[in-house]
Amino acid sequence: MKKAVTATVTLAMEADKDTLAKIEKFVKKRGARKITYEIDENIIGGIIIQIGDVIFDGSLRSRLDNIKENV
Amino acid sequence: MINVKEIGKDIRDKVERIPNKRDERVCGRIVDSGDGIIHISGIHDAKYNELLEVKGGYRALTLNLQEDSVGAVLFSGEDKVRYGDIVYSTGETVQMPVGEELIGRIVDPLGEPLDGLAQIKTDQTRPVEFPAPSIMDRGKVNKPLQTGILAIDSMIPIGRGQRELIIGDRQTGKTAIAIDTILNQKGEDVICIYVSIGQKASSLAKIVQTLRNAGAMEYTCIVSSTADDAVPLQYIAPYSGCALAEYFMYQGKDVLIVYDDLSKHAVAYRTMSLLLKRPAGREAYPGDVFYLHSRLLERAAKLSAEKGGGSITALPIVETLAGDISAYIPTNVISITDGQIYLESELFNSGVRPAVNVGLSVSRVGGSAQRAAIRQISGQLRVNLAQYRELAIFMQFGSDLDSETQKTLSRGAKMTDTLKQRQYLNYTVKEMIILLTVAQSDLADKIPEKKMSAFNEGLLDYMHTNSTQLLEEIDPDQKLSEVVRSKILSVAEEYINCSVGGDSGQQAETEA
Repeated sequence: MKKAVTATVTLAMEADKDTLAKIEKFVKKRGARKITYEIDENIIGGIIIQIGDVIFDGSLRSRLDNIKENV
Repeated sequence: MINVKEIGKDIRDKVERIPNKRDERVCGRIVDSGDGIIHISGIHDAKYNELLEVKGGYRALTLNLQEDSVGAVLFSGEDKVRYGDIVYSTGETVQMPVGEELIGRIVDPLGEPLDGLAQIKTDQTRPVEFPAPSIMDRGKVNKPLQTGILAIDSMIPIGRGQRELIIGDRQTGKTAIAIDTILNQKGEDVICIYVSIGQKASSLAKIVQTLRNAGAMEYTCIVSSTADDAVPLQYIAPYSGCALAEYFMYQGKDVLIVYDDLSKHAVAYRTMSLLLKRPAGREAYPGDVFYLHSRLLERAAKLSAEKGGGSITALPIVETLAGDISAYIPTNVISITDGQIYLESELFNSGVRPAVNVGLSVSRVGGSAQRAAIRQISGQLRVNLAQYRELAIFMQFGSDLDSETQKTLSRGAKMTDTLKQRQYLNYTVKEMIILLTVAQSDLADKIPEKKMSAFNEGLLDYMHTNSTQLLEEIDPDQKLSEVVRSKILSVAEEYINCSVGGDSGQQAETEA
């Protein structure tokens, strides 16, 4: 089932070259060949990477939601 | 003065202690939603019975794993989730929070409080689905679970670790028996769990009130799913209750768990199965409806001494329609349990309460756990009552009766009256011994018919005030000695002599 080909990377704002290179390295390591970038201000900050049906949620939004749920 | 700095520090500490959720998560998207059932594409590593988290904080349970999608049932928010919403897998099966903290509380099947009191602080959980104790882990049922109901404790005794079905039509007092049993566990060191499955919220409120008023909530936990709760909640309610019971059992404690009722549980499961498009079988129940209840009731057990000797006694309740115990669910549960208490509406309406049909009720293991004295004096009870009923039917033909038959009939009627018992009025074992001894002796002939119930109440009062020493002499764990027996009878005779006169005197007074 793990046929992860395309990675979707969501960012809050445009990233600089260094960051993009890091993202690319990370994504390639996990078997994705194509990367599509999305800009979504709603995540406030950080990054969300989805490869196939695995999601890496490092966004500020989800951190805040988590705090809201637990306080 | 409020120290702002300190508060700020507190908050910071608290936020720091919040664990960050796993960064890497497997997710999928909803491709189909309806009637509380969602299908998800993605989630390649989904397990059976896994808890899923839908965007918006709703939870779902996977039940169908298919080639290209996963079928799951929502615990809440069925009108809130949308097509395309992200669903995360959690890697966990459904867990029930467990611990002493739950005693005295009312919780939903996921452990959330429903009584408006504080959040339940316990860090221990148990999986809702858990394998039953193995053969080697089990011990012999050897301790009685007193229901406080004379008809049951004498003829259909229940042992700790037994599964005894309470079955009958609606409005025959099924729940009343279960509640009476819970009330009778006061001071008996038994933890009680009442699981309500698809009950009316109003009935449950009444039960809670009864338990509170009697102080029974001190050792009782209520796991509630009412009729308006999502079907999956009703489905897991008994398993959640059982998980809590297991927690106490493995600590070596005795637990009583009431499932009220399993017919509604089967209906809830049928709803889910049909919506998940599983093939329907008899009465439209799915093929695994037997397993649904057998795996639940197998978890009730008496553990061996090496495993701590704890026990779960299960009292499942099943509602029949028009007394039909050969319907699908009743026959299933009857064959799983260790006996049944069969309640009849005819008996109930004619004033025999609890409306136990002694002929059809059995207990397959409780007999060995019965207290010695009770076993001794109730040995003949069943046979005698059967004889009486047979005769009573015969008598309807109105033939002349010889004195011997008349005596059997009147004795039988008096015995039946003795077995009548008001709700919430539980007898202690010693009281039962007294009542049974007197009602089976020749003294019974001296008591006017129809006065038996009043006589019994009066007799017990009399005993408690005038012969406390005799009460102490009665040892339920020994066979009743001839000496004690004759003492009981002589006190009863004493009471008859003074009460029959006193009674008529009282009546004359009131009439005047």
